Amino acid sequence: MAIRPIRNRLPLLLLALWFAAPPVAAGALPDAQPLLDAALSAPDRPYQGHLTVTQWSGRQTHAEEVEVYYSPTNRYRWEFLAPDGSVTRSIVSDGANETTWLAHPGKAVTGEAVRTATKLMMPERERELLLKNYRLSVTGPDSVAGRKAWVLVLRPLVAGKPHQLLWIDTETQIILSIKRFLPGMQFATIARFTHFKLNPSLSDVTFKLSIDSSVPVTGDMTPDFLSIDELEKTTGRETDLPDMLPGGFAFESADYFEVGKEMVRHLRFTHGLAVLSIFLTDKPVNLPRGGMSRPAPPLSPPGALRLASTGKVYAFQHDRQYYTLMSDVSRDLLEHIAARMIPQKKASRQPRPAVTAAPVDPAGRIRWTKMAGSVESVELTANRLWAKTKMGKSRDFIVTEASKIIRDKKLAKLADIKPGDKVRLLRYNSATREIKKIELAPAVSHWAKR
Amino acid sequence: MRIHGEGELISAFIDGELGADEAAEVRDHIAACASCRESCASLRSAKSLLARAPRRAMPPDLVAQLEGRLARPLWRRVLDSLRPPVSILVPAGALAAAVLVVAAWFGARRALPEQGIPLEPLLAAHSRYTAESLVPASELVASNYSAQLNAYYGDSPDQE
Repeated sequence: MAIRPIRNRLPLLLLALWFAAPPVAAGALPDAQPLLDAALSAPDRPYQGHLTVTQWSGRQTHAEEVEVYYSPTNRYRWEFLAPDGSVTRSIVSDGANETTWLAHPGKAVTGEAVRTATKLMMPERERELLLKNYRLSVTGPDSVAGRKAWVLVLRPLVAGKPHQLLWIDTETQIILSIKRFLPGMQFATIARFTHFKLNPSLSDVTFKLSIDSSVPVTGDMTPDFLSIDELEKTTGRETDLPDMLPGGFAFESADYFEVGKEMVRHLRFTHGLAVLSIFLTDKPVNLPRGGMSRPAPPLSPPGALRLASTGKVYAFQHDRQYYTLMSDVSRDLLEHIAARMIPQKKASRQPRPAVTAAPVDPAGRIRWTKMAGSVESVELTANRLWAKTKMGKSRDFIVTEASKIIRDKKLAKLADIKPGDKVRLLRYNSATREIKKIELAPAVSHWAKR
Repeated sequence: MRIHGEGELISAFIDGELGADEAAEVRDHIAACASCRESCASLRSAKSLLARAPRRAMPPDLVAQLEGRLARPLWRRVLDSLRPPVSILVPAGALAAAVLVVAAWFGARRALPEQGIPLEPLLAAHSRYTAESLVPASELVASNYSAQLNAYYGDSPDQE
């Protein structure tokens, strides 16, 4: 029997010892789950800092520096810097709305701030999935930007999923560094503060982006969280995908948007940490040139696999429908998922259990849903309007003072809405049917071509 | 026989193409009718002028061509007579060319890859949704998301 040199096994031995050996000060380490819960809640103190973001994907590495400003509740400003220090992009939230400023094309994209809407899957269920698919442990303390931090390690129980390490500030539980990687593969992302200041004096101006009126503003890229039934009713298209996919991925929500004139349906699955996106289109999606590509294994549908900075992209066609999968799991797992997600035949289609998401989650956030179609009638005195979905179902909605009515990218009034108007997007409270926002054609899709 | 005002009959009389009885009848009418006598004189004058006009010799190549055609067998001459005139051939040719161009265009369209959907909006939608994940990775997500928007709306080198 050939004896392999021990140096080949040394990294594995060291890794095994690292995981196996008890921490030096085991009694001082916090429990992993309470530490995770503390890190998941939004920071309650303002901070600012400077961090570096580094991403490896295949043979490519991309790094950039970011200036970060945060203030409770949910007000943030990220400024992404070019090597010469100039700002290439900014993302600014005033707590409710978010604006992304793109310096190079001189364009702004608006939407709602992150975590202002309620997902279809309740946080408890997502946390349950995370704990089912990952083993949590704590090491440390380590030092990040001069601050002491615990290292929360999330290790997947199934091969092919990313590992994640979180450096959590011991005092404030603010996340100071994140590392996500696939062992043995050239795929990793790291964000790490190099400077961090707690409780700085930040004015309201920091969280407002003043944009010149001549700058083209595009919206709305805020994700909506629709059930499959809602997606089917709104788009008029049947979606035969299973609720569970290999790797422990569970269906979370769906959405749709337009790219040019093409409708893109977006189905999201999660296993608690990583997200798997499945895009359904009637036309193929242009995959990036270069990167990695290899023929699919015999069981997978014939398709192409490429690397992108956000993860891997696997695309294939089946029955005149184009599928584009996106996630940062391993290529083998992604191909395995692609092989198992081929739509069930209509004859064997199982009745889908009705998803009844709570209109308001425990955190008090409203669950918004959306529709598209056309206006049937408007009752000005009662502040009501009736709209018909693309499937022909009629619904009534209530217009309040907070309702935002947009026509041709300009604010309009209820009196401006006429029967027959095309409703590009109507976002409403699923419990009260109050309209949050209605966009009337010819509003341009937020992904409309430049 | 009606003769008065019949220019073609008078012209045939002048050219000696009528029979003896017809010619005598026309001659009697002209002698008696002043207007027909005037028409006859006018026609004779025109024919005389034409007869005195200088004549050009037929080009030798045209003569040779005509002789060649006459020398061809009968079946060939019948086939040639069936050939459509140029006035039909030109528009028919143009129509055929147009059909060919349209067919070639459709063929080229089928041969070319279908115009696809850009990937960047999908990557951005994936990143934007990832920002709603349970475990936050805000800066990473924001970096990806804004980079994809930049790649789509601008000419950023951040493109995949």
